[in-house]
Amino acid sequence: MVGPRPDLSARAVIFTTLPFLVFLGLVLPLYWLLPSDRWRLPLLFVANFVFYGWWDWRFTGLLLLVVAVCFFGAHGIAKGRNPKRILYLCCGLQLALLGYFKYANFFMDSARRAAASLGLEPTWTALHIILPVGISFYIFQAISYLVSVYRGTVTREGSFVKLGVYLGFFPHLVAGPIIHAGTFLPQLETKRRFDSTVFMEGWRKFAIGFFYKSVFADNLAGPVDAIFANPSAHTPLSVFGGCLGFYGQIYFDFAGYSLMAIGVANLFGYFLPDNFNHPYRASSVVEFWRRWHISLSTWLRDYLYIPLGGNRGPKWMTYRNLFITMFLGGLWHGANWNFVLWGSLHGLALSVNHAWNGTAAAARLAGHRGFLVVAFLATQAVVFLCWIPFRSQSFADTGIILSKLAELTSTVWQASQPFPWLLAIIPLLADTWVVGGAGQRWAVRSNALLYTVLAAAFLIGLLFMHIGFAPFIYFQF
Amino acid sequence: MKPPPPDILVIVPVLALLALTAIRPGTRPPRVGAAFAVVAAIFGGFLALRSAIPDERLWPDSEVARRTAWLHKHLTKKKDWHTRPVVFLVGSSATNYGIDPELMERQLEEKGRPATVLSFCMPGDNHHERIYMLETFLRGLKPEDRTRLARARVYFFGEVFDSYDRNPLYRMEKDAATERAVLFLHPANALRAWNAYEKLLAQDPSAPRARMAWLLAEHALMNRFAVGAFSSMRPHPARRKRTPPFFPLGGTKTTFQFDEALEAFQTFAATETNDPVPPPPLQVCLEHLQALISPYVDHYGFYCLPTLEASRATYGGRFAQAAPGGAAVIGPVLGEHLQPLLKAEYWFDGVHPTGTGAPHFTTWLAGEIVSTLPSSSTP
Repeated sequence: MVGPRPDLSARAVIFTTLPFLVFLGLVLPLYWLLPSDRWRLPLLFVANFVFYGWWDWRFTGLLLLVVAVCFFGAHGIAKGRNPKRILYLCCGLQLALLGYFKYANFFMDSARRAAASLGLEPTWTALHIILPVGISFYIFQAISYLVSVYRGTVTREGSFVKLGVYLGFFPHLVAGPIIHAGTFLPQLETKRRFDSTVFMEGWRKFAIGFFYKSVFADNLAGPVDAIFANPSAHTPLSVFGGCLGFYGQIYFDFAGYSLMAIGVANLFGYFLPDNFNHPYRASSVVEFWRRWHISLSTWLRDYLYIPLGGNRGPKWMTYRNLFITMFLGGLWHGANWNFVLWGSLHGLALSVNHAWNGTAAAARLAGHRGFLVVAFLATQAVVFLCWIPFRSQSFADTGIILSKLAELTSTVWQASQPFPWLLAIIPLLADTWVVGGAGQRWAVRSNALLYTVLAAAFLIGLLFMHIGFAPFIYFQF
Repeated sequence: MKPPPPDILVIVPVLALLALTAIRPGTRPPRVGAAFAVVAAIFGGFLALRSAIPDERLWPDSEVARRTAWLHKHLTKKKDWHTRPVVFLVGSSATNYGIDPELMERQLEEKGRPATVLSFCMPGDNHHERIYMLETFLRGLKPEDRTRLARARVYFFGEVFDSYDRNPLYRMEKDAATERAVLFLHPANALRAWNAYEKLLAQDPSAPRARMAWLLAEHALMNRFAVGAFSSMRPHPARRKRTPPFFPLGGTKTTFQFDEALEAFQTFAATETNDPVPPPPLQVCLEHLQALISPYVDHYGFYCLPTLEASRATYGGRFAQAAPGGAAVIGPVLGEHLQPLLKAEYWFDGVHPTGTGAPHFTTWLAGEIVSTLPSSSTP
């Protein structure tokens, strides 16, 4: 049912490769050597396009178009006679770009299948469209900016360069986090001063992200891919291992990328908000979405859920709005029915969660320790199961995997291939319960130790990192 | 069913992660210069330490390490091994799947030319990986065995295929950023690869210069920093397995049609070609090879294994014209010489024999080698 996922990022600049280190090694010192933001901002503007053009220089024009639409659109919204019409026009144009590049083939293919199932013989074929890396992220940012200007929560940016720096800021250009205009644009108005504490904090975050991505996620990718490639050939225990591995892999991959992006932004003196907050500690689906991909869930809440009516109407409307939001959130992840199913399942789970929260039993059990454990396990089970359609090659594979998992209790526990269980479990436990738990209260303050730990950690990371090309999972979105 | 590998070393990066999350700047602002000095000192110290550790200890499960471990054992399993000639077969997948070195030893003995046959072959390798495998083998020998090898009579036979000069960038990129490429592109080998590529650039300035330079520099750096040496998260010591250098293939490739391939090949064989001799990189590659093994090797030869692919046979012919003086070139096999091997069940595809065909290919090569060896084979 679902075709192979395109390798979109094969030539993109990846944070964990030498080209990026060279790029950073050139841009960063030059940036801080320049006397003021008057020079630094144009440098960042150019650096953004070089970074994006490294993947495919032709798409720098697309990015430039998005910036231009935002620039002139916001001007029209702020000064024009009919701001609403201009907003719709600009947002419509952005969504049309997204729709063409990301969804045209998907809907054409779906329509072709539907027509064929009705006995018709459709003649149209797939278009040869290359999906620009990160288009979903910068288009969402562009919409956030235009809507914010329309609502009056953000002042129109009068400088094309500053707007270009915001929309195309290279650390988060291709895989987020999605930065709201109100968070970033004000930073462009204040003078950047080199702060060694922020600078070192940037390296520390980058190093943590490097471990998440290159050591944990990438080393899990091989065994996980092998199992998801042909789940019917594996025993229930191995299939469970593959699912557990992906549960960890997707978190470490995306949280790692986000941390590296935040760290690189810190190196340039900018701050990006956290995108993950130990989501596997969540004890409800609502809480999970407050901790997972925070920038997307906030965007969906502000620009989709609330405009749909949010929780202002009757309960059934709240549930409907939740479902629509998550359905579209699933579709945002990719032109693939598996993602739609994943989003819909989360929409359903959120609705059930909201319905439960309104009951007397929920109020009675709130804070009860035993209930918290049950709620935690139930939440993580839902999240775990929802990742299966997200990662599977097809609905058929999803069915096979679920049936294999159902056999877990009734068959001999035997793995069909060696699986790195400790790699799948220990980093997750460490991140969720040590770093995200008691570890948050620990802090050793020493500059000398900071330097040494950073250097040693990078070295250990190199020794343990996966060799080979492993793009960030979220590049494809 | 083997138990899952104990990936216990994951605890090391986890501890490093915990240290990273717990550490914060002191009460005074950190000094970036001091931080970079510490990083430089730690990385510099590591590089010094690294230079003392051979690759096969850092990547003990790499294909080269496993194969050379088998070769070491095979060479020295008899105490008087150095009194017999040693044949080096240095090739790629065709030799790996098609030539059984132990069978060849028996056949050489039957023909009155007993020898120890060492097959340095890996599927998909290129010239620089061959060099690396030979280096690793020689480095792994005990000093006294190296001395004995230098005194023994050693015959080198290299498989002829286009890894010497065709699409060198493609061949490098094929394995780029894999463990294989990180290993064989250590700095000296990367420099050799660039040296050979420069000759090509002199002939064809449109060949991409920056891409090759970037690729080689990146891999040389990855090699020096031992990138991914512990990515398996498993403890290393004494875990190097010995892998024999012969893997017979079962069955025939599903996309291969023997009759069609044979017809196309016979059409090719009937036409005359005026292809030029191989370009300069070939000579540079052979110089690299000779510089490495000349202290040990007494006789050089090359062999083109039987093939049904016209391009390979053509290259074999061109290679024979450009081969260094004094080196024997066996093949390419055409016409009636190929006849005994023309059975569908012998061919996995147009290049590789099946497990059924391998003994016949081995017999053919053993016979050809005996006919090219100098009359005296005593040390």
